Order: sequence, then structure tokens, then C-alpha cells
Amino acid sequence: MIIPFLDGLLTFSRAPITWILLMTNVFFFAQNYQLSKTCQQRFEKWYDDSHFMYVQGQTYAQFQSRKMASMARTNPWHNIKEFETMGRLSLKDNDYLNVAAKANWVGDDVAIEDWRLELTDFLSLRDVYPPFILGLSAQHKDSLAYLSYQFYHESFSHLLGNLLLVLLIGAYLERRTSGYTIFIVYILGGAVSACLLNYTVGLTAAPLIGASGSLCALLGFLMITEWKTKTKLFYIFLPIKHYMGFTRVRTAYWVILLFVIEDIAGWLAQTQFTTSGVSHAIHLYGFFVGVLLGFLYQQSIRWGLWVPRKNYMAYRTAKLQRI
Amino acid sequence: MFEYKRRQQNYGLALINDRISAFLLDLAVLVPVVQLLQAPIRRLITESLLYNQIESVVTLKIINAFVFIAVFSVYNIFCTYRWGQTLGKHFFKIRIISYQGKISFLTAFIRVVFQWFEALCFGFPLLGLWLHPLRRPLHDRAADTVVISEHERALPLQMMPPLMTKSWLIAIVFFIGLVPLSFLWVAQDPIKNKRQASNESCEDFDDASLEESLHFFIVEKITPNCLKSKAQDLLWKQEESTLASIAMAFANMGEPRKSDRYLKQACQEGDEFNDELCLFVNWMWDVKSPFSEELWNYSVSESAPDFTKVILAAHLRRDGNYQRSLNILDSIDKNTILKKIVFKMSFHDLLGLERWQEAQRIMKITRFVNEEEILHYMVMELQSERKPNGLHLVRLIEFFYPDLKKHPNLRLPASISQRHPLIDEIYHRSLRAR
Repeated sequence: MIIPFLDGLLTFSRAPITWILLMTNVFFFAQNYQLSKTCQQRFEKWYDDSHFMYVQGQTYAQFQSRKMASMARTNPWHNIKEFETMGRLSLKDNDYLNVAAKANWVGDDVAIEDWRLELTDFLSLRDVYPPFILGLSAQHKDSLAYLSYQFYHESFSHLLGNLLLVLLIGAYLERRTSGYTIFIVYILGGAVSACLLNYTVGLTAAPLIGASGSLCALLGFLMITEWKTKTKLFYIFLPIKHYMGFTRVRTAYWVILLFVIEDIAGWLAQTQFTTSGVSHAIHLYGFFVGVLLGFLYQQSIRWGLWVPRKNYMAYRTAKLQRI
Repeated sequence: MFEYKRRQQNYGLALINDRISAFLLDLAVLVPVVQLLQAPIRRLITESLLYNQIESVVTLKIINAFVFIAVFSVYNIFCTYRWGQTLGKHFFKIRIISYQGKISFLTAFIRVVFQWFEALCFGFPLLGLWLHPLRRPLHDRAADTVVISEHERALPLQMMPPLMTKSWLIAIVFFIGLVPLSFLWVAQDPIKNKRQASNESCEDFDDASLEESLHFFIVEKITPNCLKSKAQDLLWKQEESTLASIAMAFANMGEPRKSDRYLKQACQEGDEFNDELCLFVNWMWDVKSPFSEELWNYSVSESAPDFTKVILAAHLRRDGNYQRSLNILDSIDKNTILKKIVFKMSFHDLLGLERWQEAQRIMKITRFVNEEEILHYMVMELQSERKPNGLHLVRLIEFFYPDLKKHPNLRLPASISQRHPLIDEIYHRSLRAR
């Protein structure tokens, strides 16, 4: 296992903005944890109900046929045979969910009647589910949502994974740039990458949540500002003295190898119907925004628009001399 | 980073831990690259799974595996030939040297081929490290190479005692060797395994029509879920909607309100059939209501679907009216699948009428009717409202098990006595009374 270590977990006084961002995430998670868990358990009953998903899939197949016919296009959904699978995929289609409960469907009328009642319950539960309120989705994409989605996470493992890296990378950068920089990169990175996602791929009914876009922006920023320097990584191959420890590798190498290539692979592996639950597109957009911000930062120093921290230039000179 | 310099320094044998860690580091570095190259194939696999194209899935998984093998092989061959060490080996300061002098391309190639051979056989290519005195697994011996270390902690370059005895290695090889074999076996057809788990009882009736499936359901040969999936499919396609609604009503008998709604839906449609069918089905739901002459005439007529006759015959047989049941069954126009059901039901009627020889003839015609059906008949008789007729039971058993007639002290076959102890008790009591 190889993970970036950089400066490690600094104290609050040495990276206050990073710690504030982290605490905000934890606060939002803790505040909504109980409600989120209750709603998730109820949602799982619908996800596990094969009959509900079957009927949902049948109606979704009809919806897609009508939509494609009106657009005079061939229906790519036509070849999917498993209606339960289609039912699960339909939960991401906002256009379908807006009309499903009221539209006229053809088929097993008894099953359709029961399904309509269940779907109405499902949609009303969605309105109180925290990821739908705080997250970014096709139904909920006001300007505040572009900010709030960055601070909410689905589960403890999601929170831990993202925030550990935010802490390591954000703290490292904050010591070398400033708290304002980290704040701007984090917020702008998340917001602009979400805008790009909405403009290109489009948002779905499944809400977008998590600090991944912001984290990737920090990674991109790190890669550009520390392009030639070697940063510290922690490795563990065997739990024995000489086979775990620290090493220094050029920042660009490990950022590209461990993060960028993985995201590109994940993005290429996605089909038009399914995703893995991880939005690789927003990772890549976030990285791109971080790289741009990194360039802007460096140019602003060169043009004298921004004065970095007192010891920053000395630190950078010393670093370059050591290579 | 890969600059190789000749150094005049001492070197020794590479530690096993160094070799394993170098291997893991190579994996960590190459896995993202492999995933990038495999991404389009994984996309195709997902699409094939969605489109139910199972044959494509297996082919694509094999191609996926080949991409993985190709990338690792090319990387290992190139690095071994060019520098004598991969990135992982460079990090841990170990390198490969050949007994022939310079490492040729052929040497590197042979080394990698035997690494894959070891991985396939033993699940792990470095297993031989523990046995050989110079820590040379099979791939090192095949390519005539040895791995040395430039590190301070290197072992002296001399013959080392093996770390493990042969019997231990054989035990580990046997255990670990099962891993790739079982993976290959399980990965063969994941979809088929999943399907088998969920649809086991319905597979035999895939080719049956809806009406035939309904018949099978009436005689308890298929589960409600099998009938439901067939009827549901037709309802959504809006084909045979009346019969499909009736079938759904049968399949949902565990949920009476839902069942009633399907029945109501079926009777309100009625474009293929007539109202008499709905009357028949309503009677069936409430069998205490009188069965009118009109309904009887409809049920035995040619216009009525075969399932009405099957239900009526089953109902008559439950009442002990075997002859009437047999007459109705004779009027059914038997197709291949329905024939089995009719034979089974006729067999029960003939047993009830004590026409043993005709019943035995049916047993010889079809293996669908066997000893199990005799037992089923006896159990049904005992559970019916009629008092169990002891002498009838004795005659039935003695006809089908002639040895018991010759030797009355013999016990009943275990297949009978264990399933229902009352049969055993009634048989022996009746024997004493006779």
C-alpha cells in the first residue's frame, strides 16, 4: 500500500483553514447521520423488492420507447432484458421520475396500481433524505447546492477516505501557500467541477455528494505548485521494519499514477447506463480546475499580484537546490 | 532512476522479504496502467451483462485476463533484459544476474513464462524460494539466473539450508494450487450459476405455454413464482390477457385481496372467452357454492379451455367421484405436456376405482407416474373426509407389492411406512382383522 504522507497530520494552529473545512464536513455528517440511516433502511427495502423494481423497469422501458420515438432515434435501452436492472437504473432518470406516478402505463394494471402507491411513498421520502437536500441533483441544483454538496458524505468510510486526504494535502499546501488559497481552491474546485459536470454530462436524479471534486482540485493544485519537488509517501509492503516506511517521490509521478490514471480508467469503464457509484468525471474535472488554479497562482506570484508567505520563496529555493 | 552502474562492492543473496516486497511494489505501480488498458473491456462486459449476452461476457473476461498477463510480461521482460531489475527490485536494491553472463532476451522471456506457470500451478510465483539453497524458484532455475542483493542486509552468497521441508511445501502447494483452479472454475459462468440459484424449479417449464403452466400449477408441479413470471410477462406484452389475469389470480392465492383484483380484471376483459369462464372461476374460488348444470355443460364442452376440465376432474376426485373424473380426463385433447398431467390424474382415479391393472399399465407407459404417486394417493385418501378404508388399502398394497401377500410377516417398504405411520398401522390392523 502506498499513500501520500506529505507533512502528516498537523495541529490546528499550523493549518487552521484545512481543519475548519474538515470539521465542517464532520459536522454535516454527524448532524444528519441518524435521519440518513433511517431513510437508507427504508430505501433498501424498495431496492431489494424485486417485484417493485420489475414493474418500475417495465414502465421505464415504455418511457424510453416513447421518448426515443418522439425524438426519432433508436432506443439503446431496447436490448436490456432484465427489467429489475432497468428499474434500478430508472431511479437516476429525473425526467422519468417526474412523470412516473401520474403517466398512463400499459400492462399489468393491478401491479401498476400498487406500484404507483409505493412510488409516491418513495418520492416523498426522497424529499426528506439528507443527500437529496444537501446534495446536487437534477431536481435540486440551486446555487447553494453547488456549495453544500462538497460538505456532505454518505457513509463513515466515504467521509474518512476523503477527509484523510483533504487533511494531508490541504495541511501541506496551507503551510506553503496560505489558508485563503486552500479555501479558494477547495470551494472553487468543487463548485466549478460540478458546473462543468452539469454542462457536459448533466446531473441525474441520484444526488452528487462528497468532497471528491474539491479533493481532486487540491491534488491538481499540489501537482502544479510542487511539480519538481519530491514529496513524502508512506509505504507498507510487509509489516516488518525495513519493508514499511517513508520515501520521497516526485509529486507529479504519484499524483498521476495513483489518482489520475485510476480516475481515467474508471471513467472509461462506465457505460451510458450504469456507473460504479463513484463519479470519476467530477474527479477529473476537479483535477483540471485544480491544475488551472495552480497555474493562476504561480502566474500571480510572478506578476506580483500575490505575495506568498514570508518564508515561501526561501523554502522553494531550498527545495529546488536539494534535487 | 533506472540508471545501472557497475559497482565494485560486495553483494549477496537477496532476502525473501526483499523479493516479495519488490514484487508487491511492481504490482502497485502496474495496476493503474492495467486498469486503464482494461477499462474499455470492462465497459463491454457491463454492457454484455445488461444485454444478457452471456457468451460475450466469458470471452471478454478471458481477454481481460490476457491484457493483465501481457502488461506484466512485457514490463518484466523489458526491465529484466534492459537493466536486470524492475522498478520494485531497484527500490529494494536487488537485481537479477545470469550464469551465462549478460541477460539475453531469451533468458528474460523464459523467466517470465515460468513465472506465470508457477503462478498458475501454485497461486504465487515465488513459492520455490523457501526450498532452494540459493533461493531460486522454478523460473530462476529455468532461466539460469539468480537474484542478488546490493543491500547491507544481503545474505552471504553460499548454499543456504532450505527453510522448509518438502512435505510442508507439498501441503502448501496443494492448498494454494486449489486457488487458481477454483477461480477458473467459478469464473467460467457466473451468470449461469446465478440463474440456476434463482430459477431452479422453473427451468423445466420454460417451453410450456401459459395454459400448460397453469395445468402444472394446478397439479402442484410448479411453484407460484414460476407461474407468476410467465403470466406477468404476457400481461405486460398484453397477450392472452384474460388467461394471464386468471393465472396471476392463481399465483397470488396467498394474497386474497390481490388475487380478487386479478380475477375481477380477468372477468371484466372477456374478449377471448365468455362470461361462463368467469362463472366457473368464481365457483372455483368458493367451492361450497352449488355447481350448476349450466356450468357443468360449459366445463365439459369443447369451447372451454382444458384447465377448467383439469380443475373439475381434481375437484371430483377429491369428492371420491373417480369415474366422473376419469370421463372428463378422457375428453381432454392431450398434447405432449398435458399428457403427463392427465396420466397422473387418471392413475389416481383408477386406483380409487380399484382398476389396478390399468393403473399398472400407466406406470409402465410413463415414468412420470411411479411409486411416489401410489404413496401420494394413499396419503390423500387418509387425509380426505372419507374414513380410511382398511381393506381397500390392503388390496392396493398387496397388488403393487406381491411379496407382502406371500409373506405377511414382512414389513412395509420404508418409503411407505416412514412417510405416513398411519398407513403402517391401518395395514397391519386390517391384516389381523381379515
